[in-house]
Amino acid sequence: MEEVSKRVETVNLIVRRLFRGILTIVLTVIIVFTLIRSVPGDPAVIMAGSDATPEQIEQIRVSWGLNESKPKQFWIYVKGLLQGNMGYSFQYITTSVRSVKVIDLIMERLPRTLLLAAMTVVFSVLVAVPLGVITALKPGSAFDNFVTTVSLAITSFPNFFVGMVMITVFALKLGWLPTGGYGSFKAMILPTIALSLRFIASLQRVTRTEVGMVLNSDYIMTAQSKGLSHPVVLFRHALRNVLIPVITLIGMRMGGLITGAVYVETLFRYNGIGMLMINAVNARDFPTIQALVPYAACVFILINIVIDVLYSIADPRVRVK
Amino acid sequence: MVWLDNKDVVWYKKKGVPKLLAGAVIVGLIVLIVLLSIVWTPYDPNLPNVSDRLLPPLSTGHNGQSYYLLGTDQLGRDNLSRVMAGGQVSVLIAFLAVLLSVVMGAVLGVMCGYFGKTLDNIVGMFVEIQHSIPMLLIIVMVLTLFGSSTVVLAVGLSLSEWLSIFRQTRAKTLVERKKDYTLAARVMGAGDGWIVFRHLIPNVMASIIVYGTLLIGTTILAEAGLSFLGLGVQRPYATWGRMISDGQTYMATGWWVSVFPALAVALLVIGVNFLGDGLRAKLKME
Repeated sequence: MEEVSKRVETVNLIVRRLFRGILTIVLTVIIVFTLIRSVPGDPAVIMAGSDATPEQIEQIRVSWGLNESKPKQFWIYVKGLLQGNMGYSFQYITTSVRSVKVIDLIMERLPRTLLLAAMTVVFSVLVAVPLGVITALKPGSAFDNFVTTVSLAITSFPNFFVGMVMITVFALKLGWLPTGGYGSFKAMILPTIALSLRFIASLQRVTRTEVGMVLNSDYIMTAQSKGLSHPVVLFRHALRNVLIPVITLIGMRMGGLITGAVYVETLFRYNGIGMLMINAVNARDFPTIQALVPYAACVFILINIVIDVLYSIADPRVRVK
Repeated sequence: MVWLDNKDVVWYKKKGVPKLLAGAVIVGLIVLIVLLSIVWTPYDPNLPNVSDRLLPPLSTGHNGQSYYLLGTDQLGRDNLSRVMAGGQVSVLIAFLAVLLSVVMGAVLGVMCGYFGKTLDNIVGMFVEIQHSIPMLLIIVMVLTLFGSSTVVLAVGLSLSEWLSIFRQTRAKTLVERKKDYTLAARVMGAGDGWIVFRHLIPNVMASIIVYGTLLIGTTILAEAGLSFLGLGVQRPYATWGRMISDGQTYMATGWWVSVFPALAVALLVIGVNFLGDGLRAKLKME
């Protein structure tokens, strides 16, 4: 019986999260549509760019249904998004050849950003959790103070500046790593660290607080009084409790990762969706922009739902709410 | 600003320096210097000088008269003057954006916390949704489509940051409205308006001020980031974020071009966070 009700609760949670996720995506699509259509002037002329021929402008007018009513235009847009038919990117037009489809561009870049995000999460957890545990064991120690000071300093500088310093030191001066680009594992090291710094700072803080609380709790005292040695107590009991806030924070930071990716990818010329967005914006590549924002939102909302579900499996208390 | 939680800055507390005072001094000094730059800077921040390009800090100019405390940039402009003037736009935008966030977040927060029910549910749903929308992408879009100006930047930043103020105010209001004095006021026949404006708002004001102050740091960093992406305001002077990113090419040969504006940002962020934390301790919150 209990097994069944547990499963029902998890399914309920997934349905609720999915519903909210769909609502979020719909709202994002509406915002993007409204913003692009509310630019003063003829949207076809603006979208075609300054050096477009009248034929190109007319082609955009027809393919985007700009002569139709607003609801019809919205429908064309939504249909395109659902079918993955979002036209051709303006960035790679060579004379009359429109070679690159927006959807192909996004499908090529998205996995790169996801890879960077995944590496960032793994690296951050691997660094921050041990740091949090060590600092929690001896609060107020020299090492604890050192970690606190360093994270205060690093998080007070703009993140892209810290990345610039890293490039200067590790790539230009020492020559250990490439300054950027995409393609090799080596080229991913600096972007991963740059994207991780803020994450590590907050993750370390949460771990430190949680471990500190657990170590002072009754059940750890009980375990210790029963003769369990310190490391065993820590790993068997304390770390399991730390898991939950860590997952929460990862979920909360997913949005931060996509934001951070825009800066980090631009700085390290890492060719993911963050850099694609900035390039599209600079080239006023509207087909790419209006497809990229909803798709990016979609992927990160899905990841968030997965994390929410994992979270409910890790902590049975969540399901009850 | 989770990572700057008051109780965790141990090294600072131990030395017994009152945080509030330190924060106030840092912020006060920076704001004074930025205000001063409106009327006076050592040199014209926008005047290039070809013969004095990329001079290191503490150097004398080619003519033997000019003295550059913080060096010069790639065009021979005085770095000190540029750092001073560069703060004008950054500080103004941060101030405007936080003001907007606070008004929006506080009003909705108090109303949702006090009235609850339908209003709370609707606003709550939008807040949750906004939390998962990639706001930066939307802001980048808006800045590209409508052009970057102080107002657009301030509104954009406040729209992405008012959530924290809303959450705090709402949570605080929920606590306050259950307290005896609210009940007492109601028993004495006070209406909703009276309770909200005479009792709840004054009582949640402390937390609004604290979180508003802490938000300034986030906003300054966000504005610097947008400038780095080339979406910041250009006139009349380059902002700190723009200066940092312009100096990117010269990091190996002329670190001072980027480092000093970055230091200005970091100092101001540390200052407002100390101020916020100090205020929180002073107002005996939590």
